Amino acid sequence: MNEINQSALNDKEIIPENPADVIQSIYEEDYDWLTKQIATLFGFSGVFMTLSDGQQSQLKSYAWKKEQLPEAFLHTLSATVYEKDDFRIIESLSTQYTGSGTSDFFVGIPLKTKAGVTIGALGLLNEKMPAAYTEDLLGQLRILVTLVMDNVELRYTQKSAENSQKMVNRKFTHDLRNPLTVISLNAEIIKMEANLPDGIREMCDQVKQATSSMNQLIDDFSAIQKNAR
Amino acid sequence: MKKCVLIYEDDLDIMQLCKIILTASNYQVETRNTCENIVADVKEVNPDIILMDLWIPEIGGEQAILLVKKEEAFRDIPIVIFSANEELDTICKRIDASGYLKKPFDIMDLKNIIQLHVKEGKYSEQHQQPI
Repeated sequence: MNEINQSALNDKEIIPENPADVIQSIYEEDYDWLTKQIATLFGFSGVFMTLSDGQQSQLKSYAWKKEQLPEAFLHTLSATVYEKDDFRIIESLSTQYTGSGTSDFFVGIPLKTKAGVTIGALGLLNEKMPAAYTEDLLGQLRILVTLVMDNVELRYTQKSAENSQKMVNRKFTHDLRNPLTVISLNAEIIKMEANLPDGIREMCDQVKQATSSMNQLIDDFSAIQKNAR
Repeated sequence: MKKCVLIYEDDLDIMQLCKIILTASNYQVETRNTCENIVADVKEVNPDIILMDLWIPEIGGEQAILLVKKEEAFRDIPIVIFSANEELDTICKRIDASGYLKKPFDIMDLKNIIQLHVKEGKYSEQHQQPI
């Protein structure tokens, strides 16, 4: 069998390269919560979060004070953000895109992992350029996105560690049962020998009994691990 | 004519013990410790039953079984999976194996499951018929 990849336990390599892995490590309701909090904090009329695994973009959550914009339009906006390193700001949305409804001001920022992989975009929309729109606001937004990504990566790291532990446990129980099989079968084969002293037969029974007990212990350990999860 | 068991197992001790037990039970036993050439192996050995470990290099027992099942000529060969894996029942159903044997097992467990599936196997009856 393949050995467990020990490098998976190395912190440096736990930073994901595959966006889909990161995306799947967050609960749906957490995305909704984040989006609502951002909408409240910044007072924009619309906030949305899209996620992309590099091939497909999906609308993960949104919070609107007014009528929601068409999803296709949000993906169009997101696509322009994914390729950015920093903010994408559109001060006059309606002149560039149809379907922007009453929204005319857009700020988008890519969601990037520490490895530099874009996993999505956070978009904020408003009817017009807000009075409070300053460099300071963008700075706060930048900090917020960094916190969001820290949170996302922390959860991914935790999930990776749990998966590694699961693999170690599976390998541990598997690799214990193989030698138990060998011990148990050998004890049975020896016992089948003709002209064997009674003492040796008893020993074979003891070995068989001991392997059975040990297998039960492995079963119990495995059940405890499953319940702990 | 002896029935032939083809065993795939990368643990050489277990492989050897299975061979001893089944040979003593009047089976012809062929063994392999990797499964990537399973289709060629089955063509060569023409077994009545396959005993397959799941955690075996290079492609793993599950994948190897699917390769055999893809071949029309081998579809009816009974395949018994054996492993220390705890989800053998689920895996057995998923890959449509004939049966499974959980490690550690007894001599009788091994003999019984092989006997049961060789006896039930349509493939065995068909390919033993004189031409």
